[in-house]
Amino acid sequence: MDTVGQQLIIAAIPGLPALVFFVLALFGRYIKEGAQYVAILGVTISLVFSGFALYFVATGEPIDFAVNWIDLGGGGAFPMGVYIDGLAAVMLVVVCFVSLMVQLYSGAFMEGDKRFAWYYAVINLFTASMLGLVLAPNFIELYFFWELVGLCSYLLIGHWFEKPSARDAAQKAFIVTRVGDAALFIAIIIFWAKTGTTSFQGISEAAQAGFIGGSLFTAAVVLVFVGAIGKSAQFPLHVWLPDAMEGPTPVSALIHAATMVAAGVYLVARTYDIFVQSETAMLTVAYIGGFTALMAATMALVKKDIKRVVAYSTVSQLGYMMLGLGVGAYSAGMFHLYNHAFFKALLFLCAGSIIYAMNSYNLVEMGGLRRRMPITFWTMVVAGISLAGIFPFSGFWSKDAIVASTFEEHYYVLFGMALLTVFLTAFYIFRAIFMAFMGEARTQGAREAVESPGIMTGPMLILAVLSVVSGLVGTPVADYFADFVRPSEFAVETLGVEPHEFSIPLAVVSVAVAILGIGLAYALYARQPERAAALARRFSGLHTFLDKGWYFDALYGATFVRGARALGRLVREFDRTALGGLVGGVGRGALGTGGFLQRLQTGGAQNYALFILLSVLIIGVIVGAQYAFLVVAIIALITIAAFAVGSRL
Amino acid sequence: MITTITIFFPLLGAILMLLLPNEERIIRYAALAVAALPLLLVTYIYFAHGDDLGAASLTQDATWVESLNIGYRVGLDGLGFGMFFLSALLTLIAVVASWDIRENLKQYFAILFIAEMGMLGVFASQDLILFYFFFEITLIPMYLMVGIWGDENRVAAAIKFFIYTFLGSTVMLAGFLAFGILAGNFSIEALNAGGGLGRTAQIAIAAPIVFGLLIKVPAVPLHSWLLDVYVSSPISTNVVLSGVLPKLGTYGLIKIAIPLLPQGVEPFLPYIAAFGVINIVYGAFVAFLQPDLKALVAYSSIGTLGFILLGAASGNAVGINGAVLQQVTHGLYSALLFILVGVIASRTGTRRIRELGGLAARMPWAGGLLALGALAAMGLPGLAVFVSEFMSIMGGYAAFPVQGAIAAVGIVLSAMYLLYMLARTVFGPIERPAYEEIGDAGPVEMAAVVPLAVLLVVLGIFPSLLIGVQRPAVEAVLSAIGGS
Repeated sequence: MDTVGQQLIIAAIPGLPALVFFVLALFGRYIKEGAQYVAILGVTISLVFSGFALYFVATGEPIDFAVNWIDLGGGGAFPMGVYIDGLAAVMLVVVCFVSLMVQLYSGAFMEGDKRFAWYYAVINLFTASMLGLVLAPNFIELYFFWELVGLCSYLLIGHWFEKPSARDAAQKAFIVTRVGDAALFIAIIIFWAKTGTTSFQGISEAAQAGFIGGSLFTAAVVLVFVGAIGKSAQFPLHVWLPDAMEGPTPVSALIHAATMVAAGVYLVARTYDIFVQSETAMLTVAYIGGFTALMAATMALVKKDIKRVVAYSTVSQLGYMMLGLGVGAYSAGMFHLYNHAFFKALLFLCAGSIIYAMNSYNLVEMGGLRRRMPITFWTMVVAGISLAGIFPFSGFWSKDAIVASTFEEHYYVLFGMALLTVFLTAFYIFRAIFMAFMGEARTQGAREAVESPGIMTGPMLILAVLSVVSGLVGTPVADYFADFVRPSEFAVETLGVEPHEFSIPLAVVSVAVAILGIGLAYALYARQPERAAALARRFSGLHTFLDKGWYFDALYGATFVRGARALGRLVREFDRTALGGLVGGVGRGALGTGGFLQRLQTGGAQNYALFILLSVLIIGVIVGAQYAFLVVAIIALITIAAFAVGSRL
Repeated sequence: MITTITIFFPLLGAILMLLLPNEERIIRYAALAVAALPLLLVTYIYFAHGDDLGAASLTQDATWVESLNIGYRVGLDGLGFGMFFLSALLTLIAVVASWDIRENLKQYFAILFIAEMGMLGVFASQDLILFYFFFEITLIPMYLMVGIWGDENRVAAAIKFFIYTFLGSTVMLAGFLAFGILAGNFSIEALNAGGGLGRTAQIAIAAPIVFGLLIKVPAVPLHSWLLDVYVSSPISTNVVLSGVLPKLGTYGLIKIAIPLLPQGVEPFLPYIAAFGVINIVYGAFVAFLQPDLKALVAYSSIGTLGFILLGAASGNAVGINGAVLQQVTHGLYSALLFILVGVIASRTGTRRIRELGGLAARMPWAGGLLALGALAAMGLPGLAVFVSEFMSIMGGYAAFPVQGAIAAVGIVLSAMYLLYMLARTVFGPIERPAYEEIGDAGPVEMAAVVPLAVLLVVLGIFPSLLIGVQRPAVEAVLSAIGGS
């Protein structure tokens, strides 16, 4: 395979979905329902090409090429390029595959939607952006696609923007993740200012050579992680993800499995050589991950909305991945991302199937669906078992590797949290499954539900098979995954971690804990639902606390949102009265109404002068007060002159 | 010669306008033709000479006042080319977007073309006095366009505008005169890197020049003229007023203050950067709760212009290139937004954000392009503003870490108010039953905004199309700073 051909194939992987986006965005209104075929064709070719890329990397060296996007000659350059190693190759395949499944499924799920073609256009831009992000060898390129991924989730969450809740959820997702983006951006400029490069490799090498170090380096790495926190919905920026359920359900599958939230975890893995050089950053990753896993699992315990249960589950599982990366279990963390993509996509497609059948999200209104919707039932059970981590389903292998690594690396607190999360995970997912499928139908809708059409159950069945077997590439017998997706030698040396040894006692413990969780869910929700209700009443305070998501939304609403609004009001009032006062004065004075002098007397102008002085002082503080005196003098002089001119007119 | 033709052709056009019969169709088509020619010439220059604009080329040099060494010196370089192009483009777009001008159409276009001559002249001037001359020429047409064709608050707004910017340019002129007389020359080329003046003299000259330019931008707290003027103007005036006029100030900084008085502006640079940051943060907060859609767009401009100040003050290749590019990209998106605000207001009869809502369902194109413009304004990658913004911030951070870091936080603030605006205008449920009947943007309206949207996307993906032209000239600025 010659290099040019190879490069063209790789460029086409994100290029084709991007092209599909432009075609559908411009001509979608003429193509209408045909949009899905155009889109599916594009992403299928991308999937095949991703397979080629995987093959290239598996049989040869990592692929690495770049062109200068912005060339400033001696002033530096910002390249755009491609770097594909095992990690990126696996991600390419996963992203294309999940996207294909989602697009097939959407054809039925979104049928009759009035923005059908636009929906497919954005799904494809989403896919293209995520693929571009995966390929990026440097921070600027990564950030470019990172933001586009955020845009697409904004557009898709808000697809039904006529609904105020969807509109607000989209806005919240974008703004909350943008807080993380700003942190990431600051990290990028710190790296660039100190090392003169934005490439992951270059920054890692510059840090090793000592061009950047100490607390500034630690701060920058932690800021990169804050970016990942925003995208991957980790504590404390997790609040957007549950609301993101307002989007169409296939979109949730895409966001939660392969795009958007996976980007944060991928970022940490991609820049692992930088992360390992800061112990603080690694500990931050591990503890934020471990805490988020536990916290989100508790939130999922009591939700009545089936999609929100699965959504909190994503937050929790992403926490696992971060935890794995943080304690040095790189391959395990990424293995979990890979397995999670299949079973989580499946969980959402199953939830979507129920919603499609009975037009309700509410678990309380379901019940007894296992006879009405057998395919959905069995595929969801498979996904649930995989999520719970029962041997030998895919989730077992990667989750066990992460949990065991925390134990082996002596993070016993994290180990305890992880194990508790295993229990909670098994409980909440089977609670949802039992509530939906077992017992008797609780509403007319549930009694009349019918199984979804083949175009929807087909992708579900494929994903169900994968949820069973995808983990088999990473078993202790033959761990192909860890051989293929492995940290650099530099990272291994720096961390000094031994490769994870499979431990049968630990595996037994974690499976036993999971089975315990399923058993409890069965006892409470399949056998005696009235006891679950009684428990909820007895501990109603705790129940509400969990149901409200630990009151994070209320807290942020009362502090940041109200604070920003109050500040906005204040500044606006100030702009109108203090600054506008003078200007109005000048205008009126000039018109000869005498308003200007009046303004002078009522204090508008004094306010203005005061403001000028104040702002100069603020600037002085910012800059270091070196030349503040000079500037104060000049501005004061000119202000006086301005008044003189104004009053004479 | 081609430079001179491009600059003065609009003057010819203005005269032609006044001679035309009073028939709207003829006037509009003639105005289109007049506005198209400079754009064609600039496009030709881009393709024929775009690669060699490091130093002023296509020059013309004629002595005007020999004793003071003042001359008619024009020429194009990479610093001014982008804005030279944008001035021609936005004039054409303003002609297309002039559907809300109903009376005295001939006079309106004539005045617009005189303003165009001034704008083109500024960005091609290679002489301080000539620069000032063109700088002032833009002022009076703008004053008239706002004062005659604006809304009910127009007279006060126009006078406010005039007083402020006239004060600014007078102060600037004082600086220019002192500079030229002390150095014995008004040629920008000859004055490069200080024109032989010492540090103290440079500081004394730079102070008034920088102050005058900052009013023009406007830098907060010198911005208070802006709101009333922007809000009172007709849409087509907004296009030019927000797209080009603020850049006279920033361009003056990059073209004159910084390379000609490197030692003089050096003490002011941290403040210019800080002014930029204040613009970014302050503009965002004031915009946050603006009830009027047009006022919101106006304040978003204040914020975006702050990035130009930050990048210009950075004194490094990345920052200055970012600033030069941001001048163009800001013009593209702000013109786009102002026109769409006009389109929306013409359909719904209101600009109050509270009274709007759900427009995307009825106006997918206008609403979608408004969203595109807002996304551009918040620096979304793939759209041109991202490139210039990240370069300005990066360059700014390298020189002034605190200012740069605060500016980076500004991207959250801009996302906040712009998304809030979108949520309440184009998204959400349809606010009023009457909006069920409104139609999307028509062909003329689309013709005005689509070129801007296309340029935002194309430059967002291929920024080198413009950066390649401006880069050699920015290198010349850097060597002037370094060589002082």
